[in-house]
Amino acid sequence: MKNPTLNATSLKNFIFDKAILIMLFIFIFAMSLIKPVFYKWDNVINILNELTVYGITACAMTVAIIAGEFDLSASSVFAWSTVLFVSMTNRLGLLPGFLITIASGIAWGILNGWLVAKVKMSAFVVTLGTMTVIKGFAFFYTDGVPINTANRTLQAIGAFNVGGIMITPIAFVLVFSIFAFFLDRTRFGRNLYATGGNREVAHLTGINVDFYKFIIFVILGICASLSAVLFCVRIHAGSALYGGDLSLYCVAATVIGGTSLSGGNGGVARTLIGLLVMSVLFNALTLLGVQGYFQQLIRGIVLISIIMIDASINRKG
Amino acid sequence: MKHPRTKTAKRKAINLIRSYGVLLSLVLVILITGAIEKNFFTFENLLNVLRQNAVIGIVACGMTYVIISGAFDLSVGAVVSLSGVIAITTINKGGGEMLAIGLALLVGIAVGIANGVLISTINGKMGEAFIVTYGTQTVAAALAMYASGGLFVAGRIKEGFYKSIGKGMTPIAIFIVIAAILQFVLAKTGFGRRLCFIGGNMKTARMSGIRIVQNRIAYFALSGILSAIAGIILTSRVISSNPAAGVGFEMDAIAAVVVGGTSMAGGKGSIAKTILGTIVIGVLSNALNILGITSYPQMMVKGSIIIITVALDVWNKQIKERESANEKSYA
Repeated sequence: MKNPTLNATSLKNFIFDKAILIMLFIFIFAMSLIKPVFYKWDNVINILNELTVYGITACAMTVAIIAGEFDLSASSVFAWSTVLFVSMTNRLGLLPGFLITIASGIAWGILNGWLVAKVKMSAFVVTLGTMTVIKGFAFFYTDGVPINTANRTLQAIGAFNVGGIMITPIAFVLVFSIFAFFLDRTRFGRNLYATGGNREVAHLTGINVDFYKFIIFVILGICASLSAVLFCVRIHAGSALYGGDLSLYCVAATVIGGTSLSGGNGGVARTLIGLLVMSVLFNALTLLGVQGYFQQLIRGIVLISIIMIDASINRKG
Repeated sequence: MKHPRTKTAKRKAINLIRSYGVLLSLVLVILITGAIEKNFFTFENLLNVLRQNAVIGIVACGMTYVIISGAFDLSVGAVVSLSGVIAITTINKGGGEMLAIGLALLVGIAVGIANGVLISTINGKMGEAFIVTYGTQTVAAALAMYASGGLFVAGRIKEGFYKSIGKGMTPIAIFIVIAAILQFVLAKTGFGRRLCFIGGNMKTARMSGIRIVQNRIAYFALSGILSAIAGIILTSRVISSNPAAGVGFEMDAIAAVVVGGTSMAGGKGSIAKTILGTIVIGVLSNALNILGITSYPQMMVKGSIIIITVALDVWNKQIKERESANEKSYA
């Protein structure tokens, strides 16, 4: 029944529905009162430049989770890509380096996708295995030592910014819009939701389930290597140790945003909220001068609290 | 007409490979390595493999219970580190060995119960278990760093009980006893049947009157206490604590469970399989070490083994399903 007036129930539902967003706003408001530096342009830009590097992979992870799958190997693809990108840029130049890196991301994605969609193994096991293999490659290739690049063009791209906004947020907006458009407006997106919601039913409806299970890993491979390239644009170096927390970070951002790990619902806009929550929190703790171990401790507790609050509210609502 | 059940010798061989792929590959690795390197077959080396892997094996036993219950536990590695740090710090402050062990076990149970309470009160599935145990992992790792100042701490331990825990056959004996008890409980008791029921179908289990919350807390508590035992053994072996000692244990333990053949889907599995998985991975890395393969290519081999063993298992199940479908159509 339609109710045009804003009554108590609809307000309550609104609050329950947007619990994470409201918590985020309260937190930002409180932080701005405590530390005025927090809402200064420089800091906001800093947060945006930081979060968008991993954000690109987080969007792809969201797509995979919507389709009911999951990728632990993204962190290793990221590490491998930083290494490959820097070394290929040194040898062959920027553009070939970029193309080779993206191609390798696609290749890892094809391997993961083939094992999950065709061999029908669980994504958890597959990506646990490829995570170790790809990380091994990255270590083997560099012998565990970070490599640097002094490529002029790369430095120029790294220095390029519009009012402090680097190339990374621009790339993120592009990737984010593509994902949002495809998920919301196209048959591809609808089929993806159907595949994640109920594989059997989707299959019986005539959806090529295997294709969707396959393609999400390729998308993830591309996005993880793209994230790695953008990361290198900022720091001009590659190492097998970079991005170790990427997979868990992306899954956490997706789940905090409100996309269920069981698949079939959610969206990249929610993940953007999850990303904001995580990076605003990290940033705030650093600004407040919370050091090392305590920052880690608080992060863990906040992570648990968010999922607890969200789960208990949504269960009632 | 050829009956589908008639088996030729060739088919028998294929069936053998399919059913015991993991075991056969293990035997193959052992034989090849033994042929190349004489050091591999020494009693001392085999004992060493078992001793090293007893620690992972104990953690993997707890992980098996949690995985059967339809969740998983990412906090085990951090609990291994934290309990080790707590034990060594207690001893260094003059607290006595028994107090040290008691406190370490208490920490393990506490983290486990926290995991269980948090996850079961929100009726959490894989996703919630992932986030919650990732959170407790972060917290426990931070506490381990805080308690140790982020440094290795050498234990001021005299010859005695604590030092003997990690020596000789003791870790292996502890592993075997724990595994035997847990296998018995899983296969022969109501507790074990309820575990499989909850993991197989939580809704139905709740409707049949099983107290889901209490049981799930018990699984996570078990995983926590076993991780603490692993932490104690680890520190006892090297007589020092390292706040990062358990980093990556969660993935090793999950790998052991999965390579053994317990499905991540939950509802079924066995401790015996996990022991097999632990030994396969342990023997393999030992063989690679002895063959002089450095740790980086080792990572590639280990990852590939995880994928190949599970692929073999999946393939096996698919063929079995097809066969039973065929038999039905003939019947």
